[in-house]
Amino acid sequence: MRTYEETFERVMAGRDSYMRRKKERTKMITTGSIALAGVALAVVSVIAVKNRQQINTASAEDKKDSAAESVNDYTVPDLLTQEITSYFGVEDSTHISEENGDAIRNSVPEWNPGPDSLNETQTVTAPATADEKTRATTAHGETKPATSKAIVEETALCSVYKYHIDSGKYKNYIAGKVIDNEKVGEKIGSVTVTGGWQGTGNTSTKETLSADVYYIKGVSDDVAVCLKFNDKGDALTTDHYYVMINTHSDYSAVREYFIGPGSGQTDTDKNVPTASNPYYEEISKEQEKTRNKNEFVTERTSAAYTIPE
Amino acid sequence: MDNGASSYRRFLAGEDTAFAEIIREYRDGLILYINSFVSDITEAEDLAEETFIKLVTKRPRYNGKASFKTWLYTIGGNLARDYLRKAARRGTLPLENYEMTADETELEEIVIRNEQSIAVHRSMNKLKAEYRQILWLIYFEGMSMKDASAVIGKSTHAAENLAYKARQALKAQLGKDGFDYENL
Repeated sequence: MRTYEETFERVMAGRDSYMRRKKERTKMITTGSIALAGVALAVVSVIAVKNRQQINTASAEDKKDSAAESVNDYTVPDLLTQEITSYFGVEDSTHISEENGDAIRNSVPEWNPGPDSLNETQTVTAPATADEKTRATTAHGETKPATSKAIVEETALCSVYKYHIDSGKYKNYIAGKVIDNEKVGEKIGSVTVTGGWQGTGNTSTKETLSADVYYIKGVSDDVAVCLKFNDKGDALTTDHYYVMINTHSDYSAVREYFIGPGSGQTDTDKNVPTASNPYYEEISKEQEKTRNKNEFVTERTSAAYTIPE
Repeated sequence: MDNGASSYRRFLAGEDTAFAEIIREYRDGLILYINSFVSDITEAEDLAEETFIKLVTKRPRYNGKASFKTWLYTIGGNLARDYLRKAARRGTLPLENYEMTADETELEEIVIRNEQSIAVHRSMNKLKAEYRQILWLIYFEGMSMKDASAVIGKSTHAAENLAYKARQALKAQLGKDGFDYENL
């Protein structure tokens, strides 16, 4: 059995031990809490860094995707718009006004169509700086040139130059291709021709040109003649003979010179005025009367016609 | 205010030596009371010590509704019950019929002093634990039935019934031990 003093000392020692344990427990809790907080902070920091990296990576991928998409979607109209802006100085090229359209067309330098210029897509060589100005690389590594040449081609596809003889027997003849000089016969007479650009937009122009009419060797002028312009217009030259075809006749002899859809008319076009129009008949009667007086007489044809002025 | 309450308040005010007074005043009686639970004087001494440690560490508030001894014995009794529950779970419950140790004999002589009372106490130790507890509180600690019922955690009426049964059991046990209860 312990003495009272021993019991008292043990009790006090128990108290001190209890207080020490309590202090250590508090310290452990505090330290643990700080350590836990530190670990939590570190984990949060790591997560935040990873998230930031993922965001940056995703952002970079998005930018790549967006760049790839923009390249993939880089269509000719886009190039046209871009090049129009850079080449012609049109600020808001997405809305090409009539004036802008005219400016663009009028700004195309040196429009020199070849002999088959009306049969094919017309190409104009733009300044080299404009040609080399824009190039876009597609996602497949192909280089897609974006030049003013393409733009002019696009413009040419959108617009065609149409012309017709203003009056007389050949009024309703349809413009055809250029014929070789050696196939051209004698001159029939002179006519006036109205021509102009007819575009898909508001790009129509109109001009009156003087031209001479010639026979085509081996072909009746009831079927086809050819024109040689005296005035150089927007699209036509003074050096070539352009076939004019009567589509209401059997024009198989000159079919090769017929321009189909490219001319804006076809051989099945029912809207083309026929030879039965009053003016044509009137001309024919007048021609009958003045047959012998006609200064344009051909040996190859049975009839001579006066080309009204 | 009893001495124990005064000493405890002085201890709470920072006077550690006041607790030495409490130990000197209440330790032996508390050990014997706890021994009525655990029937192990060494364990009872440790539990009594634990009771005092609990007072100096937790510093529970003494409200003065009961005597300081009643309050102290209630704390000690609860610790003894906790010990018995844990011992029951461990399967180390103390034996009912145990041999008295020298420490217990010494303590008896210190606390009880009277030879007849020592004889009664030894007969009491042969009774059930709850009989021992209520008889100790009433006969040896001089508690009223109200205080004794508070310490053992029963109502006064239940404590009275328990005390009656405990007396009958003690009477029978004293007769077996060669004593005449009526003459004690």
